[in-house]
Amino acid sequence: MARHRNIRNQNYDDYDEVDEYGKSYDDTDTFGVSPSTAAQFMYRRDDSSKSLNRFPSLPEGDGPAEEEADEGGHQSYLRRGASHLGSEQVDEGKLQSCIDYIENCTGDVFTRMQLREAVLAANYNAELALRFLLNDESTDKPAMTRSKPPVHQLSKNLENLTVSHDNTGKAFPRIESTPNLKVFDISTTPIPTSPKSNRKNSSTPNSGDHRAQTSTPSNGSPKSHRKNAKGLPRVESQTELPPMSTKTSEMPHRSAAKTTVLYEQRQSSSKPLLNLIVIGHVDAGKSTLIGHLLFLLGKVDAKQMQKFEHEAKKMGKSSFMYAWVLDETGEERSRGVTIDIAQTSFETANRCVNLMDAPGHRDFIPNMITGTATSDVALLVVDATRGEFETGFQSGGQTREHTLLARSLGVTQIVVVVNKMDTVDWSEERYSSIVSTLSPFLKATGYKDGDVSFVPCSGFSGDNLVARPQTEAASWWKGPTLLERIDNFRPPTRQIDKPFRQVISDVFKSVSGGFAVAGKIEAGHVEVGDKVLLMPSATTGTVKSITLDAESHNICFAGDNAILGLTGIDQTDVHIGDIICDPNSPVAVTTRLRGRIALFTPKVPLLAGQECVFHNQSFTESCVVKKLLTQINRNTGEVQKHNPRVLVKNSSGEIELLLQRPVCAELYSASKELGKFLLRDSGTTIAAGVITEIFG
Amino acid sequence: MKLVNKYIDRDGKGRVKIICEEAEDMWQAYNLIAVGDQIHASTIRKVNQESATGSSNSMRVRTSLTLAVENVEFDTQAGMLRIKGRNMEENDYVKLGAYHTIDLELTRPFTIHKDLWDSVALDRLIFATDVTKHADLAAVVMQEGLANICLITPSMTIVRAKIDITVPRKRKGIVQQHEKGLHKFFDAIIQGILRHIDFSVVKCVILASPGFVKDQLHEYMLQWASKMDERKITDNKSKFVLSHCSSGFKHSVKELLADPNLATRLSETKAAGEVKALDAFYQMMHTDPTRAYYGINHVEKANNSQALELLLVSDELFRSSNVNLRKRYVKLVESAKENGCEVKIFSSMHVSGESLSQLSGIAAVLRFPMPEIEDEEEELNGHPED
Repeated sequence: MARHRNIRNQNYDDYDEVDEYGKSYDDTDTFGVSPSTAAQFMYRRDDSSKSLNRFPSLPEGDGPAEEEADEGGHQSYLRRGASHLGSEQVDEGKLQSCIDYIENCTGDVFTRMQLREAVLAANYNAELALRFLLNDESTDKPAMTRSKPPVHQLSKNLENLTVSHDNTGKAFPRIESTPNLKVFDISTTPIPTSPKSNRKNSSTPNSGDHRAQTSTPSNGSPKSHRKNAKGLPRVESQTELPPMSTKTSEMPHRSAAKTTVLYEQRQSSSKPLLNLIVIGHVDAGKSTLIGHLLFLLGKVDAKQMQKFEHEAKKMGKSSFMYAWVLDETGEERSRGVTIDIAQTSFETANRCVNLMDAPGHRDFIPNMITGTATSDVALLVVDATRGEFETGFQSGGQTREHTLLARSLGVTQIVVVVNKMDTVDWSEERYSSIVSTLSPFLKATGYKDGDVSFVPCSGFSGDNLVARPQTEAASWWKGPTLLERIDNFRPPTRQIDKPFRQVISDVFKSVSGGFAVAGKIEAGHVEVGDKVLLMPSATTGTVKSITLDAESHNICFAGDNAILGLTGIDQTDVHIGDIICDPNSPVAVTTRLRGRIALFTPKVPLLAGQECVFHNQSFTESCVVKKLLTQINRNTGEVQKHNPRVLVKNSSGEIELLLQRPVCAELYSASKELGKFLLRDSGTTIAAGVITEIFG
Repeated sequence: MKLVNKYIDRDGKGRVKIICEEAEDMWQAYNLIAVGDQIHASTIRKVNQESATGSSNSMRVRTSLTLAVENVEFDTQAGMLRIKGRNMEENDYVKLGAYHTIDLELTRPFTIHKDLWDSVALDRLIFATDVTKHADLAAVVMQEGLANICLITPSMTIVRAKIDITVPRKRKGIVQQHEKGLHKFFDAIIQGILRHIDFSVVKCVILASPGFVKDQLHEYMLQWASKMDERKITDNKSKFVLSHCSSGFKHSVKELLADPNLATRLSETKAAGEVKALDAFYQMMHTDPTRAYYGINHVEKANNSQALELLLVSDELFRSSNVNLRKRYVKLVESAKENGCEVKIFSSMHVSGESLSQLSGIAAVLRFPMPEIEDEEEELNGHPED
């Protein structure tokens, strides 16, 4: 007891002191970090929200404002960059003098930020930076429209500079310097970060040419530079400049010109890419057709095929052997139905085809939508068997719905594959009757005549897939094979110069550890090492790896179905339907939006309060129709009625939607791909629409 | 809900003493109690007492209070009802006019005093105290990667758990990740079922999904249960019913309620009737828009011509704190009934009720077309009904 009492009588102040110690530890924790370090890790709310808000409020989403948003990004980036580099005041001084120099030449054409960026990229070489800026100007369209008037004035200022613009796509033209001018010695300026220039530098001294002076490593100030130049004899520096961009992580903003060059490089080295989706009614033979095609193209080896055949036989489904090439999950095999999109790729004579096999069952239309949203062209497979074609085509059949969906999701070219011709003995009559039934329907759906073609074939026997049919009955067919038809698709134009956007359609653990996301790049491009922003969770990460078609790449462009390995983002933050984008021009995020819709033929009309499922790319979420704003005449676009009570089938109108969960959205005017959506309810598609307004 | 006693005058003034037995009853009480009523109930009050010497101590005292209701709040997840108001009867602990908030408790009687018990309130009282109208069921609506575990009581659909797990999709060569992800998703659903579904109350559990997810889950769950010896599931095997729905979102529940295959199991559920009624309204809108109207102004006009055949009203409207507004709705319902119209009062806690609430909360199917109402709409454009 005594001991207990002892404790009671203890001086409690001691404890208090301990507490205070605790506090002071706490304090050091908070204040031990220097303000600059803290700032680096702090999320600047006003900064990013500004750019967030500004972006969606744009009417067109392009031009100056986008650049302004970019600038915001630049600023913070450069501020960081400057503080990082300019820890030595010398650099800061150099930067300033370079900027002054350029401003003397150009006036106010360029923003301060552009100048800084250019100077930093040119490693404090004023002339180099200037030339980069000017050249950039000539190739960069949006920038040009913005600063059009000053350009004339500028070119006057600089007319004694003979800058020969090379429009063949090279970012950096050859430059001839005349003697009466300040001569730039480009080759002597080291640009250490660029590997190419390194090579050049190392070679310059070795060559021991006519240059009197060797490279001066940091002739940052223009004055000293000019002095150097004066000392030189007439120099014709016919050097091709190294690319401006240094390492990507340090320079998130490459000029559009450079991107185009890189893109063209790749385009010239490989065949044009085509994203192809195979659609059609359930059991039309889509998977079998594609499986067989892949087999014939040698994408599946004979041994594996034999294995499939054996296993399929064992399950009593020998006719499914080709479908098993694509239907890999146990569920799909045992039920004999494709459930999810299967992706694969092959090459034709002139095209590199990225092929997706969509499920035909009506329950899996959401899967089909995510696949179709990422494709450019489609193969519509119909079953030639008597009765089967008719069930697929009648109202409620998937031939009809898939075609409509594909059209509203931006697929413009379509090849109708009349499959299972062997079941009707290659009857020409049957073929032409199907063609004549489908043609008017396709036309009514919105496909142009030139964009629709037909081909008869048999997926199971393999006739007319790659080679002409062997059977006598099919001798009437003189047209091309399926493969030739695929080869004839025109590749679409891609939005290479827009800011980077990738829609996530899959998240999984990557083989190399960490996790990877897969999806189609809708706009722009991305390189390994780039910083990217994940929306709507607004977390930033870095691209660790890029995989295209099981091969690792350093860069990928709009149109590619790429797998990105990411670091810095938690896997649980990533959901299907999220968008990875350029941190400098983030995509808008909202739960409320306005859209112009065209109703299909739903069972019940559209009223306010209706709950349906909202599909945008691979994003799906339930939404409520908040308001019906207007009813629009479908043909003229005229407003027929304000605040209509109801929108009946086949009518059009403007509505307001409220989503349960934030969606990444872009206006249709800014992005055709991301600005589209579909509304579905109870297994039927109610309407297709485009986003006309996003509420912040 | 148990009715202890009821004293209502001929002019509609009076009091009712009831006992709530489950969360569902709380919802009924929430719909009965309106701002301006008086509630007499047992509650706990924190009382500060100061002794003669100046030392004060506070204690919690159980006491009965009568409150003039100023605010009523209902928590759907906990099934709790809070009533805020001023004290009407002074006692030892609480002064007259002092504010107090009562958390109404299950199995403890309380008295509601109203100046006017209107027909809607009386009907609800009769419905709520009818013991035969009880059917609790649970539904799991799902799609790959998303599941909602819902409890469906006669007048509420409550989402108890939402499971959102990203399942990797099938990729060439690596199917295992997809299957692993799927199993993880199923495990989460099973945990949700065990945690949130009380098998002693629930009559049946509907597993619904598009495609084969439901079959896969059912098979996986039974296997898992027999392996883990989970009696809760193995003993109630027969309670699981598979059904089809189009998506894993909550609003798919309405597809289940309209499913003819489940009709026998659902026949006692009020929700099923509501879904049917709303569907009838949509159908009429589809076939003959001049026989289907919504919004109080339109419906009142139709009622003036005794044209109403089916009237759908959300109970939300009767909870309006505006007494005159409430009176207007009650009057409409009473006069419609007089004219032989079928009146359905929707619970705003059901999926169909949510839709109706968005649709101004009132809708009607007419006996004969009245295109003239629609024409008048142009004039009403300036005042859209909210």
